[in-house]
Parts: sequence; structure tokens; C-alpha cells
Amino acid sequence: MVAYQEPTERSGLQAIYRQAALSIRFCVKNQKIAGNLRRNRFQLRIAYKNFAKHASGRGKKNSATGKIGDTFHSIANGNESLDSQSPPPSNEVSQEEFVRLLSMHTSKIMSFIRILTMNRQDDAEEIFQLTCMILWQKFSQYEPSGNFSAWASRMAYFETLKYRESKRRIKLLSDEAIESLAEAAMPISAELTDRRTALSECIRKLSNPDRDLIRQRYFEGLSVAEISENAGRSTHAIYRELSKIHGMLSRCVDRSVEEAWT
Amino acid sequence: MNSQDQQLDELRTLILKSQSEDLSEAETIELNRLIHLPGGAEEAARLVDQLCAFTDIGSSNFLSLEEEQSGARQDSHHTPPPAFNTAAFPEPATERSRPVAASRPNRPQAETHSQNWTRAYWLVGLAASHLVIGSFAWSLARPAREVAPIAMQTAKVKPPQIVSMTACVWGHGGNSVPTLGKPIHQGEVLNLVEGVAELKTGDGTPNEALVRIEGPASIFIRDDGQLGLNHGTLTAKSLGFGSEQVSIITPIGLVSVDGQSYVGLVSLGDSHEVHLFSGRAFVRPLSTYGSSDVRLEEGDAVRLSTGTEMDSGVVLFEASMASFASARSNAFDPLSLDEKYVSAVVESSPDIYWRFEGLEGSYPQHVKNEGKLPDLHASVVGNPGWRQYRGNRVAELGLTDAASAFTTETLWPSKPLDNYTIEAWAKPQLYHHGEMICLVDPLERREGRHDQALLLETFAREWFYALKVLGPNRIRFNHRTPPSGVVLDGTNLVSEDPYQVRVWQHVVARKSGNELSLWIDGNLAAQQEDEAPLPANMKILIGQIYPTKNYRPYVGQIDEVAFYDRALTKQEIRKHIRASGRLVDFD
Repeated sequence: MVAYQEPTERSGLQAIYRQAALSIRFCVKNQKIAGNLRRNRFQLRIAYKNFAKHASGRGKKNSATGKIGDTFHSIANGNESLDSQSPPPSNEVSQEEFVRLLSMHTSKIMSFIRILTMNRQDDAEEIFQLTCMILWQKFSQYEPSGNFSAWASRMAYFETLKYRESKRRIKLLSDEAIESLAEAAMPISAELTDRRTALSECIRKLSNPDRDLIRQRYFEGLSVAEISENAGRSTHAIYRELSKIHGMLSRCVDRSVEEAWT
Repeated sequence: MNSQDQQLDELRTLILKSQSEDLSEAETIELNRLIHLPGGAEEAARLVDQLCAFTDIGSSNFLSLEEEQSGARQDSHHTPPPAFNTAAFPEPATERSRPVAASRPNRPQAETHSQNWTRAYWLVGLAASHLVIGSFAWSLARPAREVAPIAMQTAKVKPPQIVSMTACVWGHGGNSVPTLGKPIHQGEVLNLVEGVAELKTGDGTPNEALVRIEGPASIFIRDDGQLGLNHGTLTAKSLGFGSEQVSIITPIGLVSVDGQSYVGLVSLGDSHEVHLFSGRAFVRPLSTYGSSDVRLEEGDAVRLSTGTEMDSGVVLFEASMASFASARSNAFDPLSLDEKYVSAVVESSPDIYWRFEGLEGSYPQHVKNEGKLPDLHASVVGNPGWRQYRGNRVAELGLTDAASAFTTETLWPSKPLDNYTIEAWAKPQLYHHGEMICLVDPLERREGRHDQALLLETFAREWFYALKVLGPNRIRFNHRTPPSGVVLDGTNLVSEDPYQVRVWQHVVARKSGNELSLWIDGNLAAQQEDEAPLPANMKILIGQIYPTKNYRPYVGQIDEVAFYDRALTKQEIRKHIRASGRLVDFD
């Protein structure tokens, strides 16, 4: 049995959301860790720490990143270098607006980053935090009538490239591949909610064997090797089978998002 | 499978493999090559997005909820009366959900890099999308739920039940789709996207209450069988006797209601209101509001907000039922029309004029056309309801799960129209996305779907991305030439203000040359330019969007629908409204 959690560690969407918004506003305003949190202490403490750490530690050096495709450039407003440092907006209205926009678009930005990191969440989390700092530093350059999530995604893209550079490890994808992926990820992350809804419906439409494979792989947490052993098939065959199912799901999701609403 | 499909298949296989193990150098090169193929990056992005969705499920905390509940149930006998504690808020479904074996301790390291996924970024947004997938997790993990120790539920707590549903659309963030009469157990979250659901809580106990939830809203069931409100609107009538018998946990704190009291709660964004219509209630705000308990007497309301510095804090004001659609009867605001109104409309020479005074003919019965064109009667689809006001009968649609609509066998108009007017009286019962009137291409596209040339609809707080831009709870008029089934095709006009629920409104959609306009109660509500004429030979539908599918039903009353092959003037529109005898302020 899973140990019973302290009540203070559990809370609802509204409470977390509101508290987080207030917390970030506080961080943005004061650039330091706030205390005396009544709820969500553990998670908010992490948020504060990370935010404050990056707020105080960043801002001096942001090396230029590789070439960026014209299409992706044109998605967001503004084309100034990310290296230029501009002071954060100081008035309360800007802070409120920033918090509001960031809160509203977090899931899309995060989804975008997760695609670029090929679902490596440790990396995605780091990049998201770096991106939040850059967004705040650059917020004075944001055109209020612009598309915030597109603007933020563009920043996230640059942060992803810089992060990859800083890690100095073997890269799965080239910068050019990341660039292509970024262009493709924009519309997908923008439709995140609809795609999740459609995905849940599409999975229900799968045949029993296909759904069973999905269940084993992602819900029962079996590795491909385990599945292949149980089924008496090669791992390659299981990968191909999963690939086929994911392909069907992709087409179904696309069709549902496009056609379900008229 | 053609060559491109094969390459995309190979691309997906490599990505899937990369999630579990390191790719060889050759595989890495091949992966990068495939991404650069036409459609490769899109395919990769779609796949990774799916994997992210599965990761979210895999990292959630599913079984633990069940077990926690069991523990809580065991202890429930000793639990004191519910003092407010934010711990009573449930976590979003995905955060507390865990599939059967997600806690397997011996997963290979390479597989687990997609775990531990509950960090700071969640705090900022916690997107609804992640809630959505929770229902999917729930369905797949159902076998595990069924073997979980449900038997440990205590019999002392009477679980709430849904006793009625009106046009309910349930969201995917909840744990299950509720059904009439079935108990809803503690910890369950109900996400009502549209419609009104009525719950009975504490049946036969001093805590008995009748609660109406108005979508969009999210509630959860506490361990004492009472409710928590995550967000949205609800009204509650406590049916027992005594002090503070019914309590509801809200984002601002605990609301306690005496027996025989009637209260309404609205919790939207940063603003939270408690309206006391009768009886007595207490609001015990969270300490973060810095306010002591607020005692409400009959007719009082209180608002607490954390919005901007200007309007934050506690504000007392007069309670109003205006914010609560379900507090009004369907019979509220009768539409009594006499011959004077009919004469005014007939004088304007409509092609079609349906008064909905009754049905004629044999199966399928129809509403007679009193306009100038022969035929073009409105044939019944399903089983529409009726409501009789003094001297006037109206159609009442969408109140049951069965279809209730009208359509035409003869097509209209006979030729493309540069000028036209569609006029109706409408009383939506609730905020929802419903098709009052639409013109569809009679040619079926597939699976009962048809392209639309015109939509006149009530709009809700839309959850579909592409429609969010149109604004919530508005009247939408879409002129779409050529007919299409694509969501934002055509020209969209959206009323400046939200429509009123359970109140009659006079609605006119008009095209005059290049100018499209939407008129609500004789006032211009929206205007756009579109030179394309209305296509000829369309099928008219009242109450749903497809002729043979009960899809996007309009819920409410509708009457006096008229179609003109010309643009009525502003004076004519207002003349009709004056003839109705209703008091309407014109701008």
C-alpha cells in the first residue's frame, strides 16, 4: 500500500493554480525565494528555488545559436537577438500580464519543449525554467497584440539549442532536425487539449490486440523486451507493431481534431 | 504500404526505440535523415506528443488514490465534522492517477527517464489537456480499479447521486462519466463541460441537499459525501434542519449552509461569489484572504477575489439569481404573441414562416409553413417538446437524449441570395454550444455529416482550440460559401455580449449586399463583410447540425422562425419586436 500522504502535499487544481500564479508573481517582483507558503509547500518551494536561482544567475552570457529557418522565425513577433539584455518591466501591470500570459500558455510551451527534447522530461524541465527567465527578461519586447505562445515557443527553441550545446553530450538529433521538429511542433502544441481529447477517443477505437499492446507498454510499464518475451516475438517486431499503432493514432487524432468540430 | 509510408514507419520505429535504448550511430544518422523527408518532422512531432501523453499517464498516481481512499474510509468513523482544510481538494485526475504497474520498482533505468514528472512547471498551468488523458487512464486501468478494495467503503456515508441531467456534456478530466441514479463515490471528480446536472447529496440524512451544477464546472466528492467545488457555478438547497448542515469546500474556503437554506456559488478565475437566496450561511475564507468568517443573511452575497490589486479582497453585495440559470424555471419569461405579431411578420412577406403552434399531416408530421412559398413545412425529427404560453405555443428542444429537431424536405433558397434574413425568437435554457438554425448541403459527406452554408447558434465556453477566439456564451452567425465542414471557414459574426439564458431574445441574421449583420433584440450585435451569396438548395435544420444525427443539439425554446429572400430593414426588424408587445430598449 502506498503511504498516506500528508494533507498539505495534496491539493486541488484551483488551489495549486492560484498559489502558483501568486508565487511566480512574487518571484518576478522580488527575485528571491518567498516564504510562508501555506499550501503546496513542497512543489512551490521547488518552483521558488528554481525561479530565484535562474533569476539571479542568468543574464550575462547567452551565446548565439545556430541558423533558424525563416518559417519558424516568422511565427513569432520580433526578431531581435536573444543575447541582448533588457531590464524586466518594472511596473505591476506588466507583472500581472506576464503571469497571466505565462499561466495561460504554460501547457503549450511545455508541450512544445517536450517534443523538442523527444520526451526527456529532465531536460524539458530545465529548458522550461530557462525559458521562463528569458521570457520575463524579454517581456518588454513582447508585442501585446502578438501570439504569446508562439513568441514563447520561439524563445524555448533557442533555449533548447543553447541547452543542448551546454550539455556537450551525444545529440540524438542534429540542429537542423531540431529546427524542422520545432516548426512541426508549433501547431501540435497549440492544439494540445484537443489532441489529448482526440487521443483518448482514438485509443478506444483501436482493436483489442492493439489496445492491449498499448496498455502493456504504457500502462503496465512493460519494456519492449518484456513484451516480446511474453509474446514470443522479436523486439523489432514489437517496435514495428507499436510504430504501426502510433501511426494509426496520429492519423486518427489529426482527423478528429480537423473534423470533429465544424 | 508505399515508400513514404514505409519511411515514416521506420522513423517512428527509431523514435520508439530511442525512448528505451541508445541508438547505434547508423540508426541515429538514419533518424536524422528521415526527419528531413517530407512529412517526417510532422510525423515525429505527432509521435513524441503521443509519447508525452502516455508519459503523463504513466507518471500519474492512480493506484495510490484508491489505496488512500481506502485508508481514509477506514478512518472515516473517527473523522470529526469537516473542518476546512485545503487538503480536501483533490489533485487533478492525472496527478493522482497511476496505472496498474507504473510503480513497478524494477523497470530498467533507460525506461524510467520518463518518470518523476511532477516538478515545478506543473504548478504554473496544469493544463486541462493533462486532465483529459486521465479519463483514458481510468478506462484502461479499470480492471485494476475493480479489484481494488472497494468493499472497504463505509456504509455510513451516503454517496451522492445524479438525479437529473439536462444536455450534459461531461469532460474527460473526471474519473468517470456519471449516470443517473448511480452513486458517485468519494474522491471522484466530475467535470461538466455543458448542461445542468442535479445531484442529491446526503439522501435521508440531516445533510440532505439538492445541488445543481451548471457547466462548465468541476466538482469533487468528499469523504463525508458532501461536495467540493473546483470551479464553475452551482446552486444548493439544503433540505434538512439545523445549523450548518450542508458544507461545500470552494477555492476560497468553506461555505456552510443551514438547513432549509438556498445558496448559489460562482467560482470563475480569480473571482468567487456566494449568494444566499434564503436561510443562513457562513463563509469561512482561507487565511490567505485575510478575512474573518462572513455570515450571510437572506439576500446577501459576498465576493472574494485575488485578481488585480484594485478589486481583490472581500466585497458584500446583494444576492442575485441572474448568475444561476438553473435557479430559473423553464416557464420563466413567457412569450405571448398575438395576431398583431403574426400580421407584422406576414406583411414582410417571408418565404418561410413557422409558428410552431402545432403539428399537422401524417408521419412525419410537420409544422405548417405560413410564408409565401408552397410546401417548405418543417418536418419533425425525433420528438420535440412543446410549451404553451398564453395564446402562443413554442417548441422546446434538446431536453432529452433523443433527437428533437425540425428539417425540410424541400430545399431553400431556389437561387443564390445576395440578400436574405433569418429571424427567430430563442430562449436558450443554458449556456451551451447548440444549433438553433442551420442550412446544410443535402449531399451527405460521410457518416451522416453534411457541409454547412449557414449556422446560427448558441455558443458556450468553447474548449476547442480554434473556436476559443470567438468568445464564450455568444450568439454566433456563420455565413459559409461555399458550404464547408471546416470549423472556421466562412465569415463569423459573434454577438458583442453574451446571450441570456431562460430569457427570450429576438435574433436576426441578415445579409444585405456585401454586409452581414447579426441583430439581437433589434440592436446590431455584430457586422462583417462577405460578398459571397448564400448558396441555393440547402436543407434547413432547426435544433441540430446534421439531418440524421443528434449532434450539437440546441437546448431551449424557439418560436416564430422566418426566412426571407431579402434583407429586412432595421425598421422592419424593430417593427416586429414592437408588435410582440415586449419591452425592448433599442440603441
